[in-house]
Amino acid sequence: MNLVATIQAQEPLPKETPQTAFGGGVADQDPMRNFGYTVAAYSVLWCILVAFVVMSWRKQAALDARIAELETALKKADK
Amino acid sequence: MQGEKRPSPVFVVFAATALVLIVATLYWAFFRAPFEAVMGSAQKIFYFHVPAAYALYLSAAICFGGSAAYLYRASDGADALARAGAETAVAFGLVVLTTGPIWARPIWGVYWTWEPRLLTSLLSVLIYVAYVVLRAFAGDGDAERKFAAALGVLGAANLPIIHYSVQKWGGNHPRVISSGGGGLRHPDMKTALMLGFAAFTVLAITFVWARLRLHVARARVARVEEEAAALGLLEEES
Repeated sequence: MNLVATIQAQEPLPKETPQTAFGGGVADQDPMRNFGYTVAAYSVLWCILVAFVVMSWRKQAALDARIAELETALKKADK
Repeated sequence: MQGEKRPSPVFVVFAATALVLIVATLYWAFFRAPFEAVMGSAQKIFYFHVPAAYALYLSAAICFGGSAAYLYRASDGADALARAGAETAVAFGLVVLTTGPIWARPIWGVYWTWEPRLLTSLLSVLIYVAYVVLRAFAGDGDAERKFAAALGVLGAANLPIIHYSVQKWGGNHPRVISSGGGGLRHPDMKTALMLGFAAFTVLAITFVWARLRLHVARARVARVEEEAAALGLLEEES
């Protein structure tokens, strides 16, 4: 019974409902409704992108350290 | 090798341009573009969600180019380009797959529904996640690189399916760009979205560039390590 209810709840909405229409214009009701979702979306978005940058940065730093080790080993070998 | 630690001027210019464009997009989205009548503030998610989807396409196309080049003639550069494209595609794919459901919850009433564009987008991101996981854990031999390159080529086949899924199979996903679904009527809305496209295009190129340099340098270091080990220079470390 619960399964049927779940499937019914996930059925696609009919086309051209007000929810899917993308009409632009000035808001005629409270424009700040759903603002929590907007904040959440922007927070997640920047977290993902910053995490990508930090991970790249750390990998680059590890590679730089390895290059420095190799340079030291080569200098020792030269002596 | 010391000189490579300093970022190249081209990279700095790209990163700075991306930053400026992101700030401009935020300004236009929140201070210039009006609130959409039906969705309210949730519609402002689109100014980065749609460009992120475009950046996913762009990164995946770069992965396809690098993979095809590697299969044609194997080289460290082509493999690094494919890998950089796949990693960037995963980053932007995660943005798409998280911001989309957050928008959908107040507008559709559910975070997720199994409609064509959502399903094909999820499938595409999973393909690039598989690519990244494969390269991270399956070694760096020629066989692994070729297998990943094949995945990079086949993964691109899903991109046009994502794009045309709304036209061919319907579904709830709005057509933000095409006129069939209404489009963006206010000029400041269009400007904000265009700025978002420009920002994420430059950001995607910057990310690919950074990861490309990283993987090319890694491949070079790996070769130097092999040569140094063969000459007995790295005996103390091993």
